[in-house]
Amino acid sequence: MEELIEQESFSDAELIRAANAGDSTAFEALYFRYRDWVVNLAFRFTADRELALDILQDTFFYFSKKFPGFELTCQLKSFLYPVVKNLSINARNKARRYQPGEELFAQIEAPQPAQTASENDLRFALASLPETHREVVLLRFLEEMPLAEIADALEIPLGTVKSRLHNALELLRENPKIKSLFE
Amino acid sequence: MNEDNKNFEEKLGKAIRQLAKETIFVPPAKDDEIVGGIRKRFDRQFLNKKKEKIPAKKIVRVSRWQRWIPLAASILVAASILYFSRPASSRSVADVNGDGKVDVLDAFALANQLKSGASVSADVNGDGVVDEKDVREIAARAVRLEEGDRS
Repeated sequence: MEELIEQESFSDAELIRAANAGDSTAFEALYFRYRDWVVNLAFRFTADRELALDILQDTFFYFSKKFPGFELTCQLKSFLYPVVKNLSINARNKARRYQPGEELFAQIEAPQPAQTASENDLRFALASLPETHREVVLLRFLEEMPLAEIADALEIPLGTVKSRLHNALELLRENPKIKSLFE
Repeated sequence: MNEDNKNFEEKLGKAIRQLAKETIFVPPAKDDEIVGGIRKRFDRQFLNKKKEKIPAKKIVRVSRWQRWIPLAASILVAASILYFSRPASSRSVADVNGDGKVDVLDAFALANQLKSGASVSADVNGDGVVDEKDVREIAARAVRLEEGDRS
């Protein structure tokens, strides 16, 4: 574990270089660095703790298979995001029949009885956005990813990210149900 | 971005993050399972890579008829050497029309070539000149061959 703590000072690129040379502890450092982000993203996609843990495992097993020879061409989160997303969709489909109209970010969008009315209004407002727009909003504000990383993660041009975000914010701003949240 | 938009985005971000306040805790046993799996995979993958670098001795199964291929190839090479080392006059030089046999037609072909002034290399008698003597030589050979065929 001490080795891993020391490896906190290394960049992702340096750890990947070491992992490419066969150092599994470098890969383990990457696992501990991104574990919480991956498992929580999977949980937000699936709203299921057990599935999220399985997806965490599958994501890092998939990632480990890329070594040796893995080349980091973008931020690691941008690389991992589509992996987690696809594994989550597959896991959800496997766990129960996919319902048409069932959305990504299931955990965010499902109304929670214990929450306030305004929080549930926000959930509905987010759920009413087109899926492509909602995904950009959640990556920007929930995952706090920079726009360029979102473009890489979704494999779309930066301009498209900006326009989707702009349109989504306009729709949310005009939604009368959540106006009180921002006053 | 104006101040109003900035405020709106800040408040929206805060509100959205509030929705996801529930987070997942990864049990240490799960960490151990995943890390153990990763180590095994790494060991296997890098071991395979090393094996690739040192290629194992190839075992090639040879069928019974394939064993004769080297011998047949040797015979073919030897025959070719013998054939091509023969004097030029005794092989295809006389086959002027290139049909694979020496007959009267070759004599006619050479005569026509000489008549037309085309460059020819059918020095059949080996005297350094291609002329009517070579035509006769081819004709004589053709006749001899045809006689031999009949007997």
